[in-house]
Amino acid sequence: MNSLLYPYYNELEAFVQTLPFYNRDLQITELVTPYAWKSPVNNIFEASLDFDESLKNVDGVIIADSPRNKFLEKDLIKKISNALQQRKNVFCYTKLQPEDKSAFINMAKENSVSFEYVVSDGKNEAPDRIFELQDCIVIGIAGLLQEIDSFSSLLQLVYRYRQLGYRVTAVSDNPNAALCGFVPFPYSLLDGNFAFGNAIHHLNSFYNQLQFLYQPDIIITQIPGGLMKYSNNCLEDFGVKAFMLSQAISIDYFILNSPVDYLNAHAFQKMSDVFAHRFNAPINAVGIVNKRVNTAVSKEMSKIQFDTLRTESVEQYVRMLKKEEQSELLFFNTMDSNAFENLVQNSIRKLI
Amino acid sequence: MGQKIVSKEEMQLIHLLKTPRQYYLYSANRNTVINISEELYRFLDGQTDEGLSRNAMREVESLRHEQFLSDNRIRDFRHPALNVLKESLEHRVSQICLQVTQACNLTCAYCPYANYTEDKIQRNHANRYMSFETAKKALDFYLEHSDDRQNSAISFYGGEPLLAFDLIRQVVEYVNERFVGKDILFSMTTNGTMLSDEIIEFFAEHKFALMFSIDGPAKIHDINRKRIDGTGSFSVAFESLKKTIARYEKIGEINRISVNTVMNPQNEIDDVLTLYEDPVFQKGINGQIDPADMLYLENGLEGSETFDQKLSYLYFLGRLDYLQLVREIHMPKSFPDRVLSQEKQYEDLKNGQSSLPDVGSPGGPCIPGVRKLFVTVDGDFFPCEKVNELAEDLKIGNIETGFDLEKAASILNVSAITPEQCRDCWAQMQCGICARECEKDGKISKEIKLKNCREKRIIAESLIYDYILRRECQTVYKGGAQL
Repeated sequence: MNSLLYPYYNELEAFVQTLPFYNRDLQITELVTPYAWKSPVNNIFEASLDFDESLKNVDGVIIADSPRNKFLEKDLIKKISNALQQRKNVFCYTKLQPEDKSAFINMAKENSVSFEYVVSDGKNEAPDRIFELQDCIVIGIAGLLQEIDSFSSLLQLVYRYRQLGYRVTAVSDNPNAALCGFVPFPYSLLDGNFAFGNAIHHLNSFYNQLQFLYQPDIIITQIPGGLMKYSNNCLEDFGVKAFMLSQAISIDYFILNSPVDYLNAHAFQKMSDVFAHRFNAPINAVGIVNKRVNTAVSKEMSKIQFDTLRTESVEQYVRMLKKEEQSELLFFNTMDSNAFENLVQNSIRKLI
Repeated sequence: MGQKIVSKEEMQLIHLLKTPRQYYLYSANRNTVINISEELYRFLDGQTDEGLSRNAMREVESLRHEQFLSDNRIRDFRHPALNVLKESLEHRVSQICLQVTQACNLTCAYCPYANYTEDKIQRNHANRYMSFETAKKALDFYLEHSDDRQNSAISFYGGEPLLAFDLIRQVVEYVNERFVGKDILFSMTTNGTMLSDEIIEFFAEHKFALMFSIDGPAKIHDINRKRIDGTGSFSVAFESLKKTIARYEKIGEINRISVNTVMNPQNEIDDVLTLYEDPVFQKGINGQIDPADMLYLENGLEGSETFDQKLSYLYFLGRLDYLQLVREIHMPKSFPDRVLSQEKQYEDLKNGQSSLPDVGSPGGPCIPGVRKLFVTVDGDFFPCEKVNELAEDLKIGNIETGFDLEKAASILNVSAITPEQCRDCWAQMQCGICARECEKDGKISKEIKLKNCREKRIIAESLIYDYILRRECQTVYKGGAQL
């Protein structure tokens, strides 16, 4: 089904690129972005600003999730209503108010189209408390800081491993991942209903059940949240979720996504030593994303604020990191899809 | 003398501080303070001609080894943010402030726009209004130049902005349509004399952050904030404040209302502060209390002798209250809040630095046009509303031609006009000087800038003393004291 994706934004580039591989029923043929979300950097894909015009060319509308959707509440409702009234099928991956959801289900019935609400309720049953190490290989992908994207890297990796014939189960904390058939990260096991130790047992059981259910060669999981406190003003949730997950499973290959200008290669190597102790997993590869921490604004707002950078700046930084000696780490630009070929080859050499 | 053991270049970059129980050395090279012995303090301070004991000599060597004593200097006086100025102005403008009118219905005692003097050092109130076309162009410019920001902050400035309420309403409608997908915040400071029920409703609907200018109880407020016919404005302003609070309470947004109290040094501080005994301040609204800004007042305002002393004492009490060192102090929340805002600066002092950078530039943290873009009724750009609108050097562009990068860079890099003096100044890492303070007759002036140095060093010293007190409260004064 030819579909329109709304709201489109930079971080969905890899999603749009790889979706045909994951989901053969939906073809994204139109991308629409809100006027105020025009990208500060050049994108691979050109997005339209005219939802109504693009709507004429499709049969379905995918409403993607984004951390900024909370600023689009009224707009999304208007656009979903419009799509349903124009007899388009709607696949909604972002959370709506219950009353809006019910209204759309009715509206879809009236217009003889479908309204699929694909949002995980986030409730996971507490599995058995038997702690055992998983047999299959686990690759962990983490953003150094909470808002550093690792979903794009996950998409690129899963796609490439599957192309090579590996059975891969992917666990993601991104709501849009449902469209690719990925397993949602079991946040409810960490939401405070369980004692710290029990939560780790439950997480362990969750991953073991995935192994039992899907019999994968590889589990690739996003590691949620930031990895550690950034400063006394920007706490990054203290990296608690990442720590708990690292105790629940054994990570065999660790990919860290980091902003530009954060550290030099030597310091990343040192960080790897620290992670070997903290997470029982040294860093294997460092992906550089096109963000830079704006330290002055972050300090003023007590929240990490990023500046978006052009790909040339990322390339320059990656080149600088690669030049530095005494580092065993693999550095790559997360916006360069070819770099993932190397990454996959590197991980295969080390793991399989 | 100290200079024989410690070189002149090393001495230039340190500052000595003393508290009742301890002696400290602040090092610009390390941008932090360290305890030193009384003997070394007295020696470095030139209080003794005698040589140093072996222990004190070791202390000197240790300080030198740890770079607290150093002849290191910034080599290139160039603000680090100059490298990102262009891209920041193209993509990261944080806030726009629209001067919707230059007219005001009050003539306040300390208002720079109401001081009609021969020597023009700031514009005057005038019956001039921004057109909607200009506002639209400014907003489009802002949207284009903030595509790397999730938030959009739009504030309204005057004169009294409510004299242009129709324009404000048009702007809000335009923004709500054009800026969909941004986290939008509208804000405004008002004298509170023109708020009808309809206007309050409008502000509540759009969740405006509103700051009311109330300078004290009626007897103080009415001296300072007079209408053109000489009558005071307290009763109507305070009534509007109460009505607005009541409306905002219903929507659970009371934290969006605040009161700004400008203290005229000719008034008694104790009288001013009685305002904050009113029950409305028990509802959790924020209050900000600051002395009047006299930069653009030709003759200044002669204050009472006790004004500065009492103000300093209040800040001190605020500190004690914040630190819970002395309990049950009654004072407006503004004073402890001021201490809270300083905590971030303490963090820098606590962490220090390994040494002075090779490239750097002392000065305030603001990147002109990025933190705030102030747009006048004519569409001219300035770094903020506090600068002299008649100063060509501070005008950083306009809605037709865009940013003037060269001027923005010279404002950002203001310290580059005095590299010799800044290089050897012990307070360089704490200096918050702004181009606004260096301007005369429309030009950024080296002479005017240097006149500020003494005051900036006093501010720096005061901050370091605050930090030391903060530290001593955790050690020397641990446990607090009961009144």
